[in-house]
Amino acid sequence: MFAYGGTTPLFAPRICDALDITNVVLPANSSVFCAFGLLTADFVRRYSTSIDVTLGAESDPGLVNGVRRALADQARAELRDVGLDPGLARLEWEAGIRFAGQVWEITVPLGDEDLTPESMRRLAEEFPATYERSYGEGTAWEGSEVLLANLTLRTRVPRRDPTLATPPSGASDLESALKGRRDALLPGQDEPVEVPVYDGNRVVEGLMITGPAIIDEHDTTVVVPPSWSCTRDHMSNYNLKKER
Amino acid sequence: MSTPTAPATDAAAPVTPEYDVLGVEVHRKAMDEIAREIGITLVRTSGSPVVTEAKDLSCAILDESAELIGFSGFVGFHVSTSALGVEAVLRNYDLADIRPGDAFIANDPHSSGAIHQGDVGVIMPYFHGDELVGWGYVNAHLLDVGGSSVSGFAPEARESFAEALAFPGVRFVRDGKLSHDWALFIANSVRVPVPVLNDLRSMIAALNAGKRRLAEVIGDHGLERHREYCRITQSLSEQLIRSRIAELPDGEYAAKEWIEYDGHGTADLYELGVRMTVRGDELDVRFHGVGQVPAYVNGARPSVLGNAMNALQTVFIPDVPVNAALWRAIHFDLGPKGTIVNSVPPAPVSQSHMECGMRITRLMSDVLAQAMALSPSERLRSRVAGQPNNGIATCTLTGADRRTGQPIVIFPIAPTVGLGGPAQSVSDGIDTYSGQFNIGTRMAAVEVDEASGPMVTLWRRIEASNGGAGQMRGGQGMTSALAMRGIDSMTGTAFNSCAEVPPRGSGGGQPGAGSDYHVVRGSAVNELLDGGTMPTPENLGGDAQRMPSKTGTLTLEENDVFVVASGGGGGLGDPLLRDPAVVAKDVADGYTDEATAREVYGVVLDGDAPDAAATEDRRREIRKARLGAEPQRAVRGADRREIGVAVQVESGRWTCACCGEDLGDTGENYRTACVATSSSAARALAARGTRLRARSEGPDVLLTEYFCRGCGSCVRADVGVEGDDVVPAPRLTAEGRRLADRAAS
Repeated sequence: MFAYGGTTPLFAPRICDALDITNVVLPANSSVFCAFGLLTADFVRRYSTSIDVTLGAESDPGLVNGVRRALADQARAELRDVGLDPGLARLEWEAGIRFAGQVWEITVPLGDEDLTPESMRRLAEEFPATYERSYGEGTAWEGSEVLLANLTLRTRVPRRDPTLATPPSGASDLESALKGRRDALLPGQDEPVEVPVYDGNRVVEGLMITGPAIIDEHDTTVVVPPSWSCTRDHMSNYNLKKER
Repeated sequence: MSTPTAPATDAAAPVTPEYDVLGVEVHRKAMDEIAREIGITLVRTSGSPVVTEAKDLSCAILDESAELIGFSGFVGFHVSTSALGVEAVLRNYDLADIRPGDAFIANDPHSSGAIHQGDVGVIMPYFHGDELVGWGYVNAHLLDVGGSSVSGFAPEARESFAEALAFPGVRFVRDGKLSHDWALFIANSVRVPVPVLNDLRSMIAALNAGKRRLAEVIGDHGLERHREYCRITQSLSEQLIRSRIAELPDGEYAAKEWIEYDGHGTADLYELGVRMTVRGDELDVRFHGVGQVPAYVNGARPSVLGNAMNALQTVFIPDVPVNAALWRAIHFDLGPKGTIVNSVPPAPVSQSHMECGMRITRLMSDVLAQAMALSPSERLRSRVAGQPNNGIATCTLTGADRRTGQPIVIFPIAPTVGLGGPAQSVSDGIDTYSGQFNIGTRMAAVEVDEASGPMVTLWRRIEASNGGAGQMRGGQGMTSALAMRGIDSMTGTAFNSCAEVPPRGSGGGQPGAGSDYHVVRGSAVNELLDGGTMPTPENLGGDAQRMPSKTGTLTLEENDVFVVASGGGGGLGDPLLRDPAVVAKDVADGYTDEATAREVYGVVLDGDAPDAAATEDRRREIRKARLGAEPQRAVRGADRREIGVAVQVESGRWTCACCGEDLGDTGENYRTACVATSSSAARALAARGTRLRARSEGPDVLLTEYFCRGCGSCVRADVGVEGDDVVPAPRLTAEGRRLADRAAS
């Protein structure tokens, strides 16, 4: 189980006990892990526009190509506005296609190149087969035109080399990491027991802590229940393992 | 998988079940999710706003012998249709002739389990290897099913044969493909062939999704364990239902209703009723009614059972997983064939669900409210509520689009979702709640309605004083107005199932408004819209034309506007018990007016706030007027009363819950110990600003209020028909009286 958030490190092993899961990874900065993901993800912007063009032999690609060029120009300009190099961006196109009369589209990837009468005819011809891959043979609509309902452009600028957490340095022994002892009422037990409490800032890579134990982190509290153990890895994650 | 158990703390700790608790629950959820995915797939592939926006559909998974194992009720009363549809297929075909890639179509209430012909069921057998292991079922309202009127509503038909196509559970798909023969026939028989056939293809797509998922689940679990888990889940549902029934006092509870019909030139009321008997952990529900009539209001088995069960599910057992066990401890008896609650061909049934069925729902909510108010279970007492409105009013229209010349069908479903909900002990009724039968449906966005046909919505507004008055007020209904744009004229039907016999309140709560509609002829609508002015009731102009509540000859010309007002929900508890501050807020919000606040709620305002002393005086005056004398007993404090529980059993005697006054032996009717007033319901409600269509001929609909002789509180507001008997009180057995006694203490 991969467990993050402010409180999951308190409960994850208990949940795992019920589900027969024997390994839990608690990432560094557990309580702000989602925010960390947001800050280190690729920079993506998505543009969508409805277009409502019938696909087929008579289709005129002019309107669609005009809309696509305008969207691409807008997207590049807006990347420059936020200080990113449009040259590094990947442009990904998708078409939302449906049978005229339907409300939901099926999303089909589109290449970078301009549409031609030929490619628009092909999109219409191939659509029933694409549709039936999702919904089954015999389900494609008949007597309804194929509609290019909308276009989506996604610009993606990769984020390179995010800074990752490293474990604290220092002496690799339990005594140096020990902060004190607290009475704790462990789940399923009637009486409090004295439990060692470790300071997360002094739990170094490779140090093994066996439960019952508590680790005070600056943003959460890790509970290592009896019959579980915990070690820290090179990226500062806590790895909890159930002893067989 | 090991399943740790909590340490036992005392000897009464529940016994650890011998089955895998987690596994069974995960499997149960999977069955419901498969049914749900069938629905989602239909929404994603359908082209009908009735499906994509209003979600007028339902889906089910059944085992090989037509026992329900998973259900997703966007429209709840379809809980009965899937099993009846599969049973029809099993009657019509040899099992040996049914193979993968088949699908069947069923829409006949008389023969194949449909609620009405417009709600078409498609049924697909599911196989594991060569073995039939179950059935998928999806049901959706199609834009048209042929017949004498648009969209399967035939208000003027005199025989079912004139109403619509009637598929008896017939194979129309082989090897995954819609049969060419059937496609030709259907296309030639409906008003809008392309969308109808394509919606049928979408229903096949939806069932394909269910087939794939069920195969995965059976693949994961193995067939034997899948079947074992289905059995366990059903038995758990049955246990839960039985333990719930055991919390109702043993005895008989009765109620009556009247179906309205004015489509053949007379204004008729057809009586039907229910007797519900509680016996330990079993429930016997017996319906009765007048002989079947040559009009589309008759009940057929699917809608009578579906509406009745749906009322039980929403009010009494909302937490019970839905499967075949619903039918094990609850028994229905529809009485002899040929009545309005158990009709046979050629009885028309195209509004079976919204006429007889709607009244069945209300009958059930009435008897359940009576029984739950006497239950020792606080949870059940707290679920006592007013009646939901449930009566739909709208139109269906057809014409040719001016731009394309193509035939189009319009079925404005938003007004049916605009009904007010029942008042509840925890809150006022929900405004624009819809019907209790389709709590999974929703109101189509105006933009989507307008994009799907040449019709514009001029307004949707909440109507004041529309919900029944009460300590908790019934939810308010919506008034909307529709005008044509881009089409010269349209013809079709208009129907309203609840104009004259309104939904009742409970525990002294008052009836909610009925629905109504009219056409404004020759309005200024196009002139206003072309000039950029928003049409309103004030500037619309034109002449309002009253129409029967059921008509097959509605015609709309340019500049005509169809105005439809959806009714409200029933109230809960005497309005005099309502918090004056809440009444003041209702007035400030335009939910009611100052005169109603004073006359119905006894609340006198001083500016925006209630005047406490004047309100107390006014309420005392009203109680005195009700009794014709000064009340001898004071109303107990709010901490000693329960909302909606007006009459209790104490030491074997009916007792006013508001003041403790003795209201007679439980062998008698507490009503005879009360002071009663009776008047025309339409007039009484009109005086309170609540709409109800007045009867033009025949016996009147009466509102009879019963006031406690001790304190003057309203303990019951009955709705009945002139000349009818007094409504009976619950007839408790000795055991039932003992249980009800516990409720009061």
